[in-house]
Amino acid sequence: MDIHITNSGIVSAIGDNFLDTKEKLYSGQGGITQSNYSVADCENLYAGQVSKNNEELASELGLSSDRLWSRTSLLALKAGREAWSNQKGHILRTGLIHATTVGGMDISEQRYSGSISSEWSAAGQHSCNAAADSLAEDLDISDFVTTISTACSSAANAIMMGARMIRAGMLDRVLVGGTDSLSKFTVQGFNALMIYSYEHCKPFDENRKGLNLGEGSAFLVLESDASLKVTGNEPIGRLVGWSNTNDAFHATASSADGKASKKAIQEALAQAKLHCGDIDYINAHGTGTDNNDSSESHAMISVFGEQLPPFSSTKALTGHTLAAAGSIEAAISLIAMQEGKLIKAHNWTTPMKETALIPVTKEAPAQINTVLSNSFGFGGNNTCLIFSK
Amino acid sequence: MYIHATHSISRAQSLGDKVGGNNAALKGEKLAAYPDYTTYIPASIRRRMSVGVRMGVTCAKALGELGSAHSVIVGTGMGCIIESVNFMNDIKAASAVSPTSFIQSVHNTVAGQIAINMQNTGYNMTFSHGGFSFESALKDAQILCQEGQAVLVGGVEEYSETYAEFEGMNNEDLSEGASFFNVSSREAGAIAKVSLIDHLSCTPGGEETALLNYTQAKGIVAPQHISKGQSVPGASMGDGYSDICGIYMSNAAFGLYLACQQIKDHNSIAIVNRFNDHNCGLTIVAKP
Repeated sequence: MDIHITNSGIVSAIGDNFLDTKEKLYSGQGGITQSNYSVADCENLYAGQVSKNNEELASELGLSSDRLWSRTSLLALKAGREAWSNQKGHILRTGLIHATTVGGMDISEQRYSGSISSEWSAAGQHSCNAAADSLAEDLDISDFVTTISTACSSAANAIMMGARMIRAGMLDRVLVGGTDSLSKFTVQGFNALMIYSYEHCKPFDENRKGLNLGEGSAFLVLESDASLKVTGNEPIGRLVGWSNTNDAFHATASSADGKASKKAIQEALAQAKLHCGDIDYINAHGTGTDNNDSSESHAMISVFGEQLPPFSSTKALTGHTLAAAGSIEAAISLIAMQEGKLIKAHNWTTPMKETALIPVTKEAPAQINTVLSNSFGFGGNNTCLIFSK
Repeated sequence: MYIHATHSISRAQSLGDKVGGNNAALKGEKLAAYPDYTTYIPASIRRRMSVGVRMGVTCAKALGELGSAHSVIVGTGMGCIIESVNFMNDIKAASAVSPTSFIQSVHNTVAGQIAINMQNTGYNMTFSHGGFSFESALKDAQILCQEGQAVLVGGVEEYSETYAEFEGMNNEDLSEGASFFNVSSREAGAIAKVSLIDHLSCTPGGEETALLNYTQAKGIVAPQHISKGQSVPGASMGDGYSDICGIYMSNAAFGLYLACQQIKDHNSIAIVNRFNDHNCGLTIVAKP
């Protein structure tokens, strides 16, 4: 059974919506800027911020001000509504699977620091389900609504779960994606781990200094064959392969040889009934940390060897959007297929000594029929998705 | 999907114990009856584990002695809330921020630690959807079972006094616990069958009627026994399983653990978990 992708919505540091992202993706302008973002309390922080503030987002969405909205919920509503705009109230079994790690942490932080009144309970927004519940209510989706939280692989897992529910015959169509807003919690956390770069991140570069965080949200609409007959939607792509494995190695670090990442890539290829040579582009996880880029490079080499397809990490453009990364990079992979153009590895100059791998250095036109997207995370999670035209 | 083995830690019973009879004495008890962890977790590792991780890993390892699993799925509403609060306090105090609290605050810490401690490199997933977290995990387990996998699935929650006080919930009957299950599509040797996982749309008090309407609409036999509980504070569900284990977001896992014990007395049990004002989780369990 085919899993059709019929629409996408995205908001991130590089674009306000899908079309805007398409234009900016190849403009040479990254979304990571040096900012004194008040939420993160860090000076000279390089981060991928969504340009609109909470008031602007709420006003654009026409939301009531007598309710407290976390930035995560606002971003999810924006991208979720955009993706769902090709759907009507058809009689179909419909689900929503969202992914987040910070949830309403921005609200909880403000309550803890006393900067917002205690008459607002943070509880309603803090837990991860708040954004999904708001979006489900907004779009009137009720057959199955849930939230996945597996750190940086969260959104990729949400996409996979949606596809598996369609394949198992439990749902006809499902809105899948992830959202995370910037927060002090995550900025300080990665800073404490000493993997936050104080300059532009450089995935797969010998002189990489760590990651830059970003924020955003992206969703895909997945539909079954039966759903397409009812909605009449034209697919913009298909999800053809997926896999989820665990390193069982360390709480935060990936194993040096990328053994479990290798297994995830191989399983996704096998499930898609594809060979190494069938992959036209890899949208790598590529966070810009020593550990990830080294481990991921070894995994890619051990799977593809001499046949390694062109690869790049778009986190140099968006920042690492954590739970949103898997769906933001899925949307970007769809754009790369539509445009037939490889995405350049921004900020990259020097190959890593240990692997000598060279990512995409030019925005070259290419026939891109199939894309592998990697998402690896804390807790040893590795999820790989394969998208096809 | 068939349940082959289960282990649970709650305020009503420690690992391997039977649930006792005196529910009134349990009321107000915030903490679970922690087992002797030394059997399952070496002291050197245990020191770095939060309460939820200890309970989850212990249940998982105890189940590992009863059967192996390809995959690990965890449902947790608040995740590692104790370390999350610790990290927020570190930030607020602008002190030297410890990366340990940050690492352990991540929602999938329990599932990740189970993978490490059991050397399970298979599918690993964590659902965090408030009081519907465990049912979400169970739904995923059901799909994996259809795909031919044996799955370790559970719900886990830890109690944070700071968080409860902060949210003005310290007068509620909040508690914590972990309940895990070995499940697969193999019928032989099973202790119970999970025949349905869904949700019921109804307001408090309307659960029985909603369940009857639901079973009629689906054309399925109405469950012989209803086991009610609540995973979030609010209007009481009456004399239910949450009076035994206390209120916490993934306590439907305890409801299922209890149903596994009670299924010998009933043909089928509906576990009805009130998780917000307009929805209940619904899990139907039958004799295997």
